[in-house]
Amino acid sequence: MPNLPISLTIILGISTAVASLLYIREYFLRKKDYQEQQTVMLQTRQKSNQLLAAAQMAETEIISEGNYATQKLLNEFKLKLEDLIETDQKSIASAQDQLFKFMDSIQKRSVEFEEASKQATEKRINETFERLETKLSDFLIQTGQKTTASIELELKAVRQLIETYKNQQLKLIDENIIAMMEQTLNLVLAKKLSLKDQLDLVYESLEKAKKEKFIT
Amino acid sequence: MDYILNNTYSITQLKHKLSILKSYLLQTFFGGPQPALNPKDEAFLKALPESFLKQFNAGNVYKLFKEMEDQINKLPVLIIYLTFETDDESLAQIGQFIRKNLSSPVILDTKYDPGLIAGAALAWKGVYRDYSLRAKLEEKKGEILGSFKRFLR
Repeated sequence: MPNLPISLTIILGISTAVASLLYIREYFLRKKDYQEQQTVMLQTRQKSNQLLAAAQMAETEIISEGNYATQKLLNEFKLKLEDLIETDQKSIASAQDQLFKFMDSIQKRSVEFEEASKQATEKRINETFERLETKLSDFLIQTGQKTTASIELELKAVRQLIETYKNQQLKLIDENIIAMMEQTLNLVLAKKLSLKDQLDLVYESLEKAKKEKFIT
Repeated sequence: MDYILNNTYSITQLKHKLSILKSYLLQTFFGGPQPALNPKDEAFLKALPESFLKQFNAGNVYKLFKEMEDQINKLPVLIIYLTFETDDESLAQIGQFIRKNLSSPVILDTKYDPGLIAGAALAWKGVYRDYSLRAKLEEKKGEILGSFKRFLR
């Protein structure tokens, strides 16, 4: 080992001593901090455990309470559900009854409606038939009347035609019968009348003319 | 004139007799051919009295005939329509009947109308009246037709 100045050795010694002191101090400080930290950690852990225990207890309580509540709720729910089911069953039964009643009612109404409808239909059919019968009767009567009137008119026309024909024939007879008679008499009398008869008729004519003062 | 009108009833007979008489007198007074006469004409001439014939001579014969013709034209003529042809006999019967029953002398003008059937129609002074059987039928036409219609209906 070389010889170093004393001063330096002293400085180095002092520095080393200071550094050792600082180191120790730091060491202790850190140790202390570590211990404090450990303590805190312990406390914290304890607290945590406590808290955890409390939490567990609380959890347990909560769970137990929850279970209870749940059970209670379940019971209540069950009861309520039973009630509800019972009520619903009753309701359903009631509804079913009502439904049955309603269906019966509907059926009755349907029957009634059907009956009423049937009666109404029958009534309407009857009325329709009556109307039809009345109308048919009226129509037949009218047709009969019209036919009768038509026949009467036709008969009247025929009678009129016959009358016209008859009158025409009679008129022809009127117009010609005298001429026919005259011609017939002329033919017959000219051959059958004697001169004396002819003269007698001439005298008769002359006497008539005298009587009428046609000749004097 | 009355000598001629006696037994003369129609205008035809009268004109015929006048014509015969005229021919006879003219032949007597002036000569000429003798007219052919039938027995009736001869009887007519013979029936005329001498006094009637003596009034005629050659100088007045035409004048007297003219006067007679004028008288004839003035005679009332009764036209009688008959249904038969008359002969002298039937005409005489009718004429006599008329002269017997009528006051005024009339001369007949006969016409034939067979349409009268029987009896006679007369025309006097321009008026015609039918007194025949045809007129009677016409008068009774309604009744006859009525009878016929009753029979027809």
